[in-house]
Amino acid sequence: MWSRRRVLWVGLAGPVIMVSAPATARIATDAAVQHITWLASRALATLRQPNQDLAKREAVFGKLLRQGFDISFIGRFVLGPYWRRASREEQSDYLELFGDFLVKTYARRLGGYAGERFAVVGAHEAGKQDVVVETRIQRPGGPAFSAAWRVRQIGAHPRIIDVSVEGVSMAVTQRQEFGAVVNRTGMAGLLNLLRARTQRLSAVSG
Amino acid sequence: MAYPPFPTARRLVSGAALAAAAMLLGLALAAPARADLAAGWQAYQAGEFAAAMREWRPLAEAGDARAQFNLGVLYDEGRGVAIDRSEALKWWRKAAAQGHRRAQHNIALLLIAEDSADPARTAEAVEWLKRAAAAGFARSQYTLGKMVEAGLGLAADPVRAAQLIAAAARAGFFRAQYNMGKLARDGRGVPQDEAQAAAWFAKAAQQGYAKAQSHYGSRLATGTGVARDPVQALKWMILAAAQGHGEAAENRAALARTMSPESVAEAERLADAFRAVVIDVDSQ
Repeated sequence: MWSRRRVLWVGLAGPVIMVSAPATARIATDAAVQHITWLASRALATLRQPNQDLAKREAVFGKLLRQGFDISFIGRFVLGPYWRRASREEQSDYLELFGDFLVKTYARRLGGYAGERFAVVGAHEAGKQDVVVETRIQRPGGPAFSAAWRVRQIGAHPRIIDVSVEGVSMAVTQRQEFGAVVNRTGMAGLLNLLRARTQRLSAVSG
Repeated sequence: MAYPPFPTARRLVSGAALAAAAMLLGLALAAPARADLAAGWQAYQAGEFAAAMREWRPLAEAGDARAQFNLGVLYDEGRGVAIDRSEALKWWRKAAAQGHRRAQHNIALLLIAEDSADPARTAEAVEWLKRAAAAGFARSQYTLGKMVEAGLGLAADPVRAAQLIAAAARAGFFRAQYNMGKLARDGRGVPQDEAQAAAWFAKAAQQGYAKAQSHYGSRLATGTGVARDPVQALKWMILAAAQGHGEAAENRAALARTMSPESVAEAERLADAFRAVVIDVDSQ
């Protein structure tokens, strides 16, 4: 009996095809759109909280956004064959840092800051199970931020399993990059890279 | 915002008004620099990043290291401006040259983050981490310690790694405390000591760190390095599971099955009453 987390890798001469079993019905477009708009509304609600410092507000939203992704699913795809070779603790450290990386990179595309306006601009089916929800943030005095969120029903919940910006898939890009890093400097090198990407310090009051 | 009609505005431009404006301008010029940093900070907190930049830029250009650091952050994070990592580095280097430890730390991390394959950049990153670590900056001590542990950018040295991580752990950095727990558990760079391991996990757990809460909970459940206490164990597992820690959720279910309903309820009460106490190592 296949658990939902078992992933079958099929290596071909072409790109790797990712198949997860058992086959689930495609998520309804409405449900996928709702998942994303709900996250954007939570961004708005948490980031505009007065009387709480910015770092705290962003941490609150970050925790929520993590739950909107299936970090384990994306993380294991991105790490590819190196996942199985990693120790349990390396896997745990990696998923924590990878989750931080996802939040830090993509939270801004859900808006919530002063003067920003979030909108869903499209939604379409993708592959056998997924819906891609296209969004845009209008920002005062700056270019718009777009994103395409790939959403799948995983167990009882919709989850984001990839994000594309200007047609470039995060999962595919990171899979290539992380593979090269692990090849060169091992899991420790990858974890160091992820720490460097997610743990730079923010502004000071004095 | 309503503007007064033009004729009324013209009447306000009088000699007295001009004198008052000159006086106010004089006061503004004489005002301490801190006021502008604070004004930028207020704007930053409100998410008005372009306004924050307007406040901080003149201070940064005048040589204020804190403003230089903050300007670098805006460029690094793309707040109020498009992301520009070379501008970030430029401003951070100015602050770092004045001994600003956060800037030194961020330079190191950015160099590693951008191109971890370049040995020259890794070497420069290590130098900045060494400087900030020597100046007692806990985060840099930790980052450097992890690199020394793995032999990244400098020779692997478990004892030196443990010394660096321990320094950061003693300063209160939760990640370093968690790592000290693992080092003590495994006897890497320090003598193997389960009681020390448990004590370090406990410290990081108190700060709300889910992985440490899970580790500490497991130790309390099995009595490893700490007296067996199923109620406390379950409390920590509940807290870790609530933060999304999968293994803690499994352990929680398994442990709860062995306990009386009253004990489970007690653990839930304790978890509910828990408030993480986070130590701020960055301002030290």
